[in-house]
Amino acid sequence: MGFKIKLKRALLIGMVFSIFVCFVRFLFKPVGIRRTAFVILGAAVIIFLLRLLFDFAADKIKTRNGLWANVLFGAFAIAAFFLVTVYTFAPALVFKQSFDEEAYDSMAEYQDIIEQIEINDGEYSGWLIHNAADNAPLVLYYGGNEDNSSARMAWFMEESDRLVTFSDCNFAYVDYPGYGRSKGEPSEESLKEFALSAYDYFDRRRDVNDIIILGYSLGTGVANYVAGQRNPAGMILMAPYADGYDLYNNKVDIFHGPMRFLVSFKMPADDFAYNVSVKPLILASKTDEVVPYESSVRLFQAYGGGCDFATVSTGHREFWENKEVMGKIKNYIADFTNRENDD
Amino acid sequence: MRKKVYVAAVIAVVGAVLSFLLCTMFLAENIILMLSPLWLSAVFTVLYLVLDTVPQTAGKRYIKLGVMSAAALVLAVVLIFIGSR
Repeated sequence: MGFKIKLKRALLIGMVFSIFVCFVRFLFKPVGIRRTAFVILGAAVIIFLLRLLFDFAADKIKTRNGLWANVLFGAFAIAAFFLVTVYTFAPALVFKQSFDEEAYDSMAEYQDIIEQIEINDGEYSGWLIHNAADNAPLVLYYGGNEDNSSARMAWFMEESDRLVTFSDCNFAYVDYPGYGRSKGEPSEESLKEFALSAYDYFDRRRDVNDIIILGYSLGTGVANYVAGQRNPAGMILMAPYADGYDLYNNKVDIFHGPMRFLVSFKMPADDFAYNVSVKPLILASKTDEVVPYESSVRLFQAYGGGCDFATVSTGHREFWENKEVMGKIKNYIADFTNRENDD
Repeated sequence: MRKKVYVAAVIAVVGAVLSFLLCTMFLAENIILMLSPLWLSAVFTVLYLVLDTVPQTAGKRYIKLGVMSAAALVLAVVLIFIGSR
């Protein structure tokens, strides 16, 4: 056997083993990436069978343009692999489920002020900080990616002055599906369903008289959806985006025109904004490396009932640590509670 | 027929490698993992050529397959460990 043939065979076998190793590695990744690995293998099998069918058909037709037919099939195969991979893999990049077990266990120390929340028979799980007297306004937080309720509560408990921002309010954070101890998988639909369930749960509680929605990053789209469907007393958005396309394009700027079809997390917050009756506070940063500032501005322009827009100077992951941001949130909440007291 | 199956297999395998490469590049954990489908293909190709050349394993298909599988498992475990740190 000639070396050229040997090399071709070795290359094919080498790639097969490479696929095997990559596949096994992806099995140990979060569910979205695991699914992508199975989809790639499925696509490979389908393309293999299609190619055999294609050859069979070419033989029957006795085509003279074998080269062109091969080029066309090659282009089709590459496009098919690309589209299938991007469509299944992109959502896995959007959602980064997290659970902080150490923080979760540490919540037992704060039983006197932190209450565990279970919604829909334990389908969604989270925490409520009793930071005010009974029958107080509630700040309902829809967190960002990589955020989870236990870690956020533990962060509050580390330093007592962190709760000063939310004086006279209780604070609740329930984990998205697939995050923390909540069941299910994150997707646009599951997040919307979850968000309304969480809002309705707190709305029914007797110790909650008003709900102010607080959204951060990923959670701002969810917050807009809830505000459009329900009637919260206020809404604060940190690093908000106008729609999911902006988040995708900030990672890889290819999702325009027909490529928008590949975006499965559309979350059109700017569409939801038209139904929002409350006047929200938007906090956006020009140095935000995850949510483009222009996307926040586009969302701001969508509110029919007006909106307070503040440009702050902070990185995406530093919003919670930024004193200017916390000061503006504190003022917004204080304005609201003062109005309530006056009434 | 054999040639047709070979061509179909090449298209499917190259497509799958490129798809995995696209994913690992966006996962962007580190430069080694980013390009893992490429260098893994190269490593296994060289390993196969060596096994096909060495007299002890040259004609023994199952021994070659066994050695390649063992190497694949070891590399998979190492990469899972690196990726989880």
